[in-house]
Amino acid sequence: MLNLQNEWTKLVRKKSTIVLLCLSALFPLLVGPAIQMMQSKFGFTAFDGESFPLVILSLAVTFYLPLLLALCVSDLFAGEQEQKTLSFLLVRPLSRFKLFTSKIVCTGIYLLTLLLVVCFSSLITGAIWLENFTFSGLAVGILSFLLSWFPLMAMGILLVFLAQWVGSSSKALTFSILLYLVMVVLTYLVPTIAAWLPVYDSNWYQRWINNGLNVATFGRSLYLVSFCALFFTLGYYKFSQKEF
Amino acid sequence: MNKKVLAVAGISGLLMAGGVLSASASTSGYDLFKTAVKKTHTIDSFTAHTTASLTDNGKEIYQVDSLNTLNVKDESGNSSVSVTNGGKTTKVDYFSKADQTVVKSSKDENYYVKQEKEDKKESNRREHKDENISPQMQKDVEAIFDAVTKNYQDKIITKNGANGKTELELDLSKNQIPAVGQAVVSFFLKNIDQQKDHVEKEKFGSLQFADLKPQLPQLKNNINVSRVVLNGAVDKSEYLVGQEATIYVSGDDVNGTHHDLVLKLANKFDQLNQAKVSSVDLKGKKVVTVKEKHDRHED
Repeated sequence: MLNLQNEWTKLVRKKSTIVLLCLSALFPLLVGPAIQMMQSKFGFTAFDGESFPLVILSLAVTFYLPLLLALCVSDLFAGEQEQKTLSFLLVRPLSRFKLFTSKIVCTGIYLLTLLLVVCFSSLITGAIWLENFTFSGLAVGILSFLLSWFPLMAMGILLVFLAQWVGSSSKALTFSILLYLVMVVLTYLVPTIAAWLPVYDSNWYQRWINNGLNVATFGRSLYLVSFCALFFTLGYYKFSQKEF
Repeated sequence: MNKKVLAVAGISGLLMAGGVLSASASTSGYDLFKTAVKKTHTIDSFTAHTTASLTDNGKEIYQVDSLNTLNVKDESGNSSVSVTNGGKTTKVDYFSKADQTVVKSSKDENYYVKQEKEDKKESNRREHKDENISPQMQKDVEAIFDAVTKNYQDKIITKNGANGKTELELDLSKNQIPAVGQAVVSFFLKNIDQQKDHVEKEKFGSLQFADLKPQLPQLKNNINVSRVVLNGAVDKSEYLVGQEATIYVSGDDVNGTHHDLVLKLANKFDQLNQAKVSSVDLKGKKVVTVKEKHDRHED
């Protein structure tokens, strides 16, 4: 894909990206032994090898990954505008649609990489440190991590749309975090609005584990896909009309 | 805005609405449960038949069977409890009014009577008032409960039972049980030997209940909740008349022996708003008056 290589290189050459990837890998590896120590000291089994990746995943999708996603989006869009490097891209023989798509695809790949890094390091931690590690648990773990890509990506596309209105990366990041926090609070306090926010589905892998494919999971999938389509279109529209 | 953008936005907006509405339409069992719980909270009097049993590797080690009648309004009630612990059955009868509690055990002929003090009665009443939460708070609690259980709501299966009852069932296997639940249960089971100190305090005057505590196997390793089944029955007028929980726990004890524990709790409500509390006639009976101890624990 045109320009995707370019965007990806820009992203992974950043020191912050590499540091964050390493931290994501280290986090479960450090938490695993710590939990093992606590469990034998206080005598409880909250997590065994089977459920440990899922617990790490639920932490990652609520706190950690949305932040990293906001950082990536604000860098790719508002950040480039701020540093005036976006004009170099715009003079290349590329349509704005391709430019916009390549940036979003790049965000998606970055998110998938983060999920897989956390997934494998937590699986390894579970296998080494915790009792009762099974292959069915391994399969459920990997599938849950892959499923979590969808709601996070919907969130990411919403942030991309938001970033079109802001001229600097720090502002975009602040607004993204605020928006995310507001949405999280809304899901707990106003149930009528909650179902219309992508945050509502951030741990929807649990729904899939519980129900498999039924009307509810299908409905939520349809919602997420159309949510992505809607904000992709609106974001692209703003991006194509923008003067840099 | 050009037409293409409008068309895409319109179509995806419609699909989004379709997705959200179809997903939320399928939670009827959960909604029925919520209405039933709210309605059952308003009952003034009822009889409840509560049973609990605990089996260890298929052998029943503990069983409780109790018939209770309770009037919420004037805080009176009576219950007869029979406990089978390791093959020995003990029967205990309780009669309570707002200011008096009477206990009769099958172990002796005495009736143990405890009078509530005036100031304590007053504080009880005050506590009761605080329990009545405002409608706004109830709504907030409901919203939080909705959000927490959102991934479990569609899992509830509804079936039409006898007499116009609706039966609800939620069956969770190991990976579906939240980590918090796992932690609480395993913590409780693993530390049960440290709770023995409290058992001695469990007495009513000279009447002791220490031998009514179940002797659980001491689990040490690999403790996990492998399955939880919750059942409910809702009657025609939307009262929650039956609840049942079956919890399967497995783990190894100190000697490495594997244990499968099954805890079954069941409760059936009957005679809603029509139950009559029977009182006890103490004339000609051996009465032992129990004095309240004035230590800090009482407060």
